[in-house]
Amino acid sequence: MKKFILCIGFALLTISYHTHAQEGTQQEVREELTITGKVTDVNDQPLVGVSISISNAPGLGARTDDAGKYSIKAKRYQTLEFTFVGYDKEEFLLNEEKEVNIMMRESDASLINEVVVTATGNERRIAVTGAITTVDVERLKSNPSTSMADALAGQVPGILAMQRSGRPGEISEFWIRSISTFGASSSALVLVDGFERDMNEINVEDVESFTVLKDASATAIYGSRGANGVVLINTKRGKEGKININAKLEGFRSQFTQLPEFADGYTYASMSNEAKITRNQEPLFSDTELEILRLGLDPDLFPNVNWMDVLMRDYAVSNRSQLSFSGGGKTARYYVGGSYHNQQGMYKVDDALSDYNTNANFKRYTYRLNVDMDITKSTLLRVGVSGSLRKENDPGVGTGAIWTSLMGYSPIMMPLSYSNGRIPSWTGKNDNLNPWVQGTMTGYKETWQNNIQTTLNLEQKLDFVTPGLRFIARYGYDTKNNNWINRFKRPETWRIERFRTNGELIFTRTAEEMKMTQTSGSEGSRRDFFEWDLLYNKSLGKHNFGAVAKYMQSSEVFTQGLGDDLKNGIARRIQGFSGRANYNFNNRYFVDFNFGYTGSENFHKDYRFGFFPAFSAAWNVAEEPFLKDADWLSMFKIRYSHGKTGNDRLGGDRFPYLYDIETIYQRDSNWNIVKDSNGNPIATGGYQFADYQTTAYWGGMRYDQIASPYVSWEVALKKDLGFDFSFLHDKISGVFDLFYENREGIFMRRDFLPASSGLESEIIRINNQDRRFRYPYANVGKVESRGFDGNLDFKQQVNNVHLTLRGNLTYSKNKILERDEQNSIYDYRLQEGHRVDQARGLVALGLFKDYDDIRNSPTQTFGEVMPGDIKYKDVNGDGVVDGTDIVAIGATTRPNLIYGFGMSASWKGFDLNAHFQGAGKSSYFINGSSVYMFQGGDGWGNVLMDMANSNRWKLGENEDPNAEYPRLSYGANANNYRASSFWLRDGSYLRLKSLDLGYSLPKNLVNRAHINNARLFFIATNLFTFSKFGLWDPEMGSTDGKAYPLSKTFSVGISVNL
Amino acid sequence: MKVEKISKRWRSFHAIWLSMVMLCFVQCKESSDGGDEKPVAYDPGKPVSVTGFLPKGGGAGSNLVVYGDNFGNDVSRIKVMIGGKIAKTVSVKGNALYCIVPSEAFDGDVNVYILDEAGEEELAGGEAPEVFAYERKWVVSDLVGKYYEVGTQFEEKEGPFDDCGAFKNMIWFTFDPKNPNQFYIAAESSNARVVDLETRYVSYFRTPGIGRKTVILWRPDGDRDLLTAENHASDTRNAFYTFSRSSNFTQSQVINQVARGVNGAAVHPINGELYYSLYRVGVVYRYDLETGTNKVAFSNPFQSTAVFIVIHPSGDYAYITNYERSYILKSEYDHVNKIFRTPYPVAGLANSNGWSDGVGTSARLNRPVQGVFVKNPDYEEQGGDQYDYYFCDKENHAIRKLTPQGRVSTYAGRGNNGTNGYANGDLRLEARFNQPTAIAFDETRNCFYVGEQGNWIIRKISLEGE
Repeated sequence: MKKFILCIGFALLTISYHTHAQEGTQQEVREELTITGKVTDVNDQPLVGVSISISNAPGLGARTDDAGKYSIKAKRYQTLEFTFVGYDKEEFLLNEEKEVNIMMRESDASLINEVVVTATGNERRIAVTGAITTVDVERLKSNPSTSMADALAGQVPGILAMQRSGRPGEISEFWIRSISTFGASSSALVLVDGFERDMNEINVEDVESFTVLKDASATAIYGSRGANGVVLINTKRGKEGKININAKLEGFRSQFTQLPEFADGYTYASMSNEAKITRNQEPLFSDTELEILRLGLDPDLFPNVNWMDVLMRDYAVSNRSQLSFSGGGKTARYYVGGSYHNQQGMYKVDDALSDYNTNANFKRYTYRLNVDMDITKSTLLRVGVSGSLRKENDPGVGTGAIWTSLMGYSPIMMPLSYSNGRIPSWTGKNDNLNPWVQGTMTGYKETWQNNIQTTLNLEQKLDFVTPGLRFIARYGYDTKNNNWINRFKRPETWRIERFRTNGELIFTRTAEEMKMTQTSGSEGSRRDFFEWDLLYNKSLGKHNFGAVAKYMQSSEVFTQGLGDDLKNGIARRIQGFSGRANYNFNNRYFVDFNFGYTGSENFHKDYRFGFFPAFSAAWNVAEEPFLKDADWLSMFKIRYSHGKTGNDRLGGDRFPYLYDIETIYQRDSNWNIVKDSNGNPIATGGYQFADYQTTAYWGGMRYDQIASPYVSWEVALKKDLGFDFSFLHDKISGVFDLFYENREGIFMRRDFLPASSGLESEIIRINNQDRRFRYPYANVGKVESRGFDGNLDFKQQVNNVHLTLRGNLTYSKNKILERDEQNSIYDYRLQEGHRVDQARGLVALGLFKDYDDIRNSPTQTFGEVMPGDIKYKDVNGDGVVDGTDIVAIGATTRPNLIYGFGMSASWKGFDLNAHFQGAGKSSYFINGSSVYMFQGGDGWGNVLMDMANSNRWKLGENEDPNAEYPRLSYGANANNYRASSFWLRDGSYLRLKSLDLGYSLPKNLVNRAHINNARLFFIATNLFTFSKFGLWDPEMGSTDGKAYPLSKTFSVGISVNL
Repeated sequence: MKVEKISKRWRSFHAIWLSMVMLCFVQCKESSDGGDEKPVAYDPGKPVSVTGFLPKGGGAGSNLVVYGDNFGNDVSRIKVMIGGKIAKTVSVKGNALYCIVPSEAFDGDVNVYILDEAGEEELAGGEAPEVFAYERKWVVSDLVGKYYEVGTQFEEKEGPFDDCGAFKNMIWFTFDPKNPNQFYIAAESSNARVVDLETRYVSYFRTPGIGRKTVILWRPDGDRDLLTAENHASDTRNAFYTFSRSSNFTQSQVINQVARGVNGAAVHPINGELYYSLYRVGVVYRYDLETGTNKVAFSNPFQSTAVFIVIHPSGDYAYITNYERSYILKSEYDHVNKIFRTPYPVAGLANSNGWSDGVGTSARLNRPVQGVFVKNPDYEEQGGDQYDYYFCDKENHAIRKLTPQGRVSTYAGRGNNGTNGYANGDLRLEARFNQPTAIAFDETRNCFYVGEQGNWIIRKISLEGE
């Protein structure tokens, strides 16, 4: 219904626009002249579809026909504007003429003149000295996701990205070049229209430019927070000229790329018997029971349910649409855009069971209004207002619980419902309900997020002071709030006894019915930003100077859900001053110095400000006189940069320089405060001041957190050597960068201080993890990373076919140089010298062949072993395989290599675009209830089809020491089921990320409908994947497959421009 | 005129808009799920044949799959007779059916009949070519108590077997030595009850003023009055009470002996002294009922554990069950000094609970409670100790058996290779218990009664049909 209203809205908008245009023309008809003429190119060939409009007047204008002829009504002294894609704009001031013939020139679109958005404004590519990548926004548009981050992997050299879940509304994580820290946040700084904002709130159609700043020279000016790289996004603004309307409608059909496939009930039961028998235990199912199961004679006790089929649809249908208007006159220009995105979840919804939607749906609405006003000749005011609303829906238990059950429920565990209508469940816990009940009978969860962003930008030319001087002041104010309402209920649930008594089922209730209850919550924040820039540009002959001074401050305050900690209500403020000076000689030699001096409230006032200088230089070899005439070389530039940037994001911790003092209360083993019968905490650690038989007990006080006053910025030293080149009239072009980064002063807790330091500490084991309290923080870690990124484009025209081939690659490797960690006599046990998040485990040598093999091998200390169990390497040679033999194996979960390549071709009205994306140098362990078959020992955990049918070790049948999976066991198997190279999987993959086929309707046809351009398109994403890993989608990097898989989508759509 | 022209020009434009609007409605119909193919109904034109069955033999209550042809798909229209007895049919699917072997199906011939729509008249039938090898065996069944699917609906009352509610907290059974039709149930803080097997009636055994009871026993002398102990946590209160048979167990008299935390107690069958254990201090005392003298018999190896005492009918030794420590000790009787000696372990390993059969300390138990000595006729030839000890292994949900040689095996429970539950049938293949705690052997009827703290009912282990 919403879709319907929206579409009607679109249609109404257009219709009202028509009527308005008609009235206008009729009123002014008296004074109008009819101008006719012909538009040609330099070769005197007629140009079809050129737009002719009247400057500073509303209306759609006119278009040239097949013969290049046009006719338009205009008044005297008005200016006619001729615009055509790929050609320079022409203007003509009308006087007495009735016929105006125009010749248009093709615009010079060579790479040299390409404009690059940088930290301090636009610059020509030729003048750039830092490592900056400009992303072709068009290429991000085919991605069906609402999140722009999803489209980045493999498109942008220097960006590493992965999509962890395909649930509608989930967003990808991405990072620039390398993860160089293990302490603080490793995510890049994203600036939208100059201020830190969420990239995923923007409709990609609203984006004008997308730029990635990678090295120190480009980011030092951001001082704070530039260390992880910066993404600059500028949104579209109106251009002087006729109104430009863009509309796009797209419908998607999405299905899962790969859903884990599970064994059927009979296979599952036979395998669980095998697991028992092979370990000399009694089988779980008698022959008769297996037979009952095979024949499907008892759907209550021995059902055979494919839970994936029960809960998952074959496909979901989604759509998105967007509409934008832009245009304007000499004094004001506007851009107005809106979009609607509706993604349907893949859960089957039973309408009969609830009159609300329980599917994992996601909807996003965005709007944007950008107005530029010339207040005076030299003053430009830009105002931007934008907002978004994200709405998410999920079943009451949540998607996480559903996937836990989907992977946990074996086909024979329980039926959908018992034959008497009762609802089964394994236990009373929410994530133990069967997936169908979870998906349809647990209520629903609504989450929504509102965002409003306001940007004010005042630009004053100060030519009256000195030519080339400009002043820009910027102010931004953003608010955001998240709200959720969870309406939860669950039915009365039952389980049955394992055996029929007298042929009857025996039921036990596992949980009583819970009527729908509601919980809700919200959180919110507001941010404001203020900046000013003073810019100066001057050219003296061949000498070009530039300088920028910049001041910035920003603050972020959480406005809801603050709790009782005073720290939470205090704004997070940043203040900085930065500058830049550059010089180039004849566009040939460039030098650039810039710095940031930034302060963060997270640090003590003596350590608050950091100074981050950077220097860079470039040599444009192609401009040298001896090469200037070389026709084959359009551009060749060598760049080098060297500088520092900082990072103040310390994770969740605020004000580490302050100490916390607490009253000592009795605590239990989970560090929860013990309360007395009245619910009051019990003080301890104090002194009884009272006389005999009276009470005056004063509880003790102590440091809850010791102050760390010396904590300061995490500093990255970055070096970058880059080459920009373009040969044979831009036929071959590319960029290649080598980079090196040394991150110092990584923020972390000093967990391994000796007791002799006198600092009190408490190590509490919570959920099998040691939590340390009261140790101070310090800047102690050090990580080095190096790598390269680059891209190469090749363009060729063969007859009517325009062909582009392109590829890009990012590779990085990091190494921890220093880290506060426990010492070990074995070097390999330290994290130092290894990658950040390096996978670790035992080295598997295959499976034990026989008992002789077990006797002749080092003793494995994890549990009893039998032939067919995993044999490990005794790394330290002490004759015993134990925890000290755990070494670094494989790479990291997040890929260290991301690449993409693709081609575009266009022929007449057709265009084709294919893009492949791949990742390498990543590995992860697989584990969990499905991989570690029958690990629970209680029937929980489904068996993957792939593993059931594999070449696994089978007693008497396949006693191959190199079998794919070890001897089965029922219940925990501490020897086999632990992290080792046996379970390590290569996460590399290559996939056809998108295939985009478009057809632009012939101009002469669409022009009649006043349409400039209409394109029909078909897009397929994630069409196929090559990977060594076959259990689930490799891109997710999931260890247990318990995640909403990624989608394969097919979409058709139309985009219209008029 | 002009307007018309313009609108003509817009027509194609509108068409495009319309098509874009239409695109929003692109929705595809879900295909409905096929599911399994429905088996065909009985075809009167074809004969009904029975080709075989699985398993080939077994006892009453076992699952049986019968193969054949043209069985139809309606359970109400099928009748299976095994050994001339009607077998309960669970489901039927064309060429196979699933039924339960009935009791006393001694002949073992398997016949399948198709009935008319009313389910009365036999229309057709077939007989299996082979005979089902029916065995008569020991099985678990229900004795008394209502099984509550929903625990909160629990009721407890006096009444006949089919209307007496459920039994919570049962911990100790004991037969009245003078009335083999009645046994008494100690049920901690719940009401003690009396089960009459002849009248099939359950009544309360009222003990006003006495709180938690974990044991009921009988005085050795005279009228064989009833003796019970209050398991309290006071160092200054008396614990033992006598209920006189002459008053029909309504009049009680306290014995002047302070005792705290009495869980187990037993009377020596020959010499008549009372032994009782104290929880906190871990000591077993010997109390002379005649003289009222009280002294330490021996110290239990552990303190803070419930210790249950069962004395061999000959009086030669006693099994000392350490509940929290999951093992059983044996204490030999010093006939000269008339006192039990310091015990030694015979089954299970202290503080290491688990479920494994084996000899002596290599076996594993998990919170054993009451046990009972049962004469084994097989031992008659070899002489020596004639009794096996059957005991409730509560957290293993099984009845275990300890032979005079110290071999521990699992006698009943944990059917289908599982743990707890509620299922009747074959002792080891099918039956399941849930926290069996109390056990008694009925020598007149040759069967066991087992009280479960998990299922709140009393089960019976007997030869099928008895």
